[in-house]
Amino acid sequence: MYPIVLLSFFGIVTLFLGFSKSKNILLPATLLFLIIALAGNFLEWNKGPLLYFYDMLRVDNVTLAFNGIILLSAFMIFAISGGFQDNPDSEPAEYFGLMLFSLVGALMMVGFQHLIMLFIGVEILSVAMYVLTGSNKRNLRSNEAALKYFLMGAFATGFMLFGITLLYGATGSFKLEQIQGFASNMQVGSESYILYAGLLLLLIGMLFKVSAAPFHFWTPDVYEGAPTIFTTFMSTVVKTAGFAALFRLLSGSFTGVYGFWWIVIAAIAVLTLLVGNIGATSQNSFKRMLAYSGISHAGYLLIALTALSKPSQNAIIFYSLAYSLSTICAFGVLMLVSKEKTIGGQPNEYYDAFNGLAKQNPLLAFVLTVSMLSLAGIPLTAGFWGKFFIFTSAAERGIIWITVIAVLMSTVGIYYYFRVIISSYLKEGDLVKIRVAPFYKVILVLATFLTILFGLAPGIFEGLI
Amino acid sequence: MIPNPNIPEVSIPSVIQNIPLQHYLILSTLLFVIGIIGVLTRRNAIIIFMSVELMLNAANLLLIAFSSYRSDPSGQVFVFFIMAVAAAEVAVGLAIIVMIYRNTRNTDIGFLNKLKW
Amino acid sequence: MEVAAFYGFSALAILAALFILFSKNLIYGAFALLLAFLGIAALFVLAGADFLGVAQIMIYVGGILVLLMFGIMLTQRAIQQEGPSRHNRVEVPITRKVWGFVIGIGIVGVLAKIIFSANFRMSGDAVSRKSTIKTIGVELMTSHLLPFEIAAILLLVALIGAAYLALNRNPAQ
Repeated sequence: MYPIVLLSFFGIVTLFLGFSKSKNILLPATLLFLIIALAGNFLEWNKGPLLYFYDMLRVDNVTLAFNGIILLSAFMIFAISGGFQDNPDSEPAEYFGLMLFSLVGALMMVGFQHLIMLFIGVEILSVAMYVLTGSNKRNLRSNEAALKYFLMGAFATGFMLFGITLLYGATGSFKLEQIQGFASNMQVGSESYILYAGLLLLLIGMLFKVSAAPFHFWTPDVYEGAPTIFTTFMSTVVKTAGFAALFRLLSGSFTGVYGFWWIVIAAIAVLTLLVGNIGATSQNSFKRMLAYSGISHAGYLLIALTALSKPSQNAIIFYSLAYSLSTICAFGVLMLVSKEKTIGGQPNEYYDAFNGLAKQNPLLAFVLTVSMLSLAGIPLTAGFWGKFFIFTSAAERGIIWITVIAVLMSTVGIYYYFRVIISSYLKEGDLVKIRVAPFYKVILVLATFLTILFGLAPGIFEGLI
Repeated sequence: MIPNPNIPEVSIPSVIQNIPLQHYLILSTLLFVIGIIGVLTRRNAIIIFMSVELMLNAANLLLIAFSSYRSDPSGQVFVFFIMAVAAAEVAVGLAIIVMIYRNTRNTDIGFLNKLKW
Repeated sequence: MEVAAFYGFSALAILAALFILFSKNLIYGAFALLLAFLGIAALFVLAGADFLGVAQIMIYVGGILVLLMFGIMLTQRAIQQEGPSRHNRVEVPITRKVWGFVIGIGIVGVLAKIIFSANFRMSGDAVSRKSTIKTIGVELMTSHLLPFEIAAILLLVALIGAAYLALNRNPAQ
């Protein structure tokens, strides 16, 4: 509860700070705001399930854990943005303000108990992301990405709303608890089909937002066209919030009709894994590959949703954390390298930009390697345990076939994740030593350290939630 | 603000009793699907956006019909929020379209081939 | 009488929507959207949502449609230069049409089957109740207070975003 109120307030303060002559104050101020929000978040740890504002928001340890991941990722992304000082066209106060507001939306999606909260949370997050995607105003790629994201996002909103409407028609309420009550006691026939149709449409809307196949087609273009720092934000914060919302929706309202939706989600998970992994192998651009890798990770998280149990809940939390940390590292290194090598004034985001990275920049190469290993799910990294927990939770539920497909697909993943490692260690290149700001280095090292720590001691949080 | 105790009593319109709810459902579904077809077939950003507005309106209409049938005001409150959101979306959407037009002098998304559709 | 009005306004909304779907001219499309919004507003009033009917006209017609018209006019200069016959025209390739209609008709089919299989019942005969303005106001200020306040954040985000994107600090380029 506290972080939502705090971040709304801090967002407005950030906009006012933009009036000051010196833009240098913005970055430390927003980082401080995020630390305060993080502290405020964990004030309610173990206070039990709390309901706020006529049952609009639910705060329990699961909510707080998701909030923590979102705020931690946001903190790291803000820190590596460097205050947007390198581009004279940029407006740091607006960017930081919009990002803080979008975090409000993300936190609403995590803790919602009423479909209005879900809807407004999704919209705040999306509208802010449309703007940030197009924030490189003179770059046509960025413009097009914004338009495409906007049109597809608005389309998805239409599906979501019609789904919510049908759910309301069937159950007579927008509250998760009452929908749950109706869904677990309803008879087949009469209104049950309306409920199924509503659930399907609502799921389509949400799956658009987390870029699951076949609703993924906007993802590669938007991720590629958006400025890299906002791509990082999209692929970590937005994805975590989307899965938290899906988890809360399905576990809070539809456990009674599990038999209906699990097969839908399972089919979409398999399709997403196939599209994401096979799509990623044929890319030449590292950034586009990361977009497809984001799609495939959505597939793994969907497997955890099909299982929908206590272990799978913890698996989603662990996986989101591991995925966010590695993704931030990967994009962080990409931003440094692509700025160094440009093609026609645009950052070079292809694999060959990484050629010879290890020779002059051993630290960056190490950070990149660990993040790739973690994304590929190699043992001794956090990503391995994330996948392991997801697969075991699916297997415990008795869904073995999906686990087999997922394991096969993650071996495909090794191919494209290792391409960049080979580029940076084995290929000859003319990369000079890249200057990295000390704070930037600290964040990258911290994320790498956490990835390895969770890889060595995955049980570090066990029993907390 | 002085509370007014004499708020007029309005009876549920007889339309709600005379028209089966199915007809509202069919009407909204038709509008919704026309919106979907519009988004999928048209290539102009502004027409696509108009089609999305039709989809939202279909949802609004159905929410109000359900809300009246159940005499439960929360459906109407939801419509109120949808209207606010639609207004916010259209502002951002047109800003994006104007920005693109400034760079390309066109709003047909067929022109947007830097990124494959 | 009211039944006739219901079907009349429904027909108006559907026809206007179909017109938008097939129109080749953006401005005509926008006017058809106006008719669709008006028809839907009338249906709101018929269904007992008097306040929302007015809000529909004020927000959709007075706000959204006017913004759309601005958008159309701000972005049409280049096409006008190609000659008056190309004025505001937009074309559709046939393959997209086929796919769109197949998907659309599929969705209609599935939903229609579901709709006719359901039997809705009215919850009680609550024939009389207060005007919806008061109810909505009370609901907004009590049980929906949090979303109501946070909607302000959404509007602020849209305001900042739209101003940021549409602003042109360097017109030389």
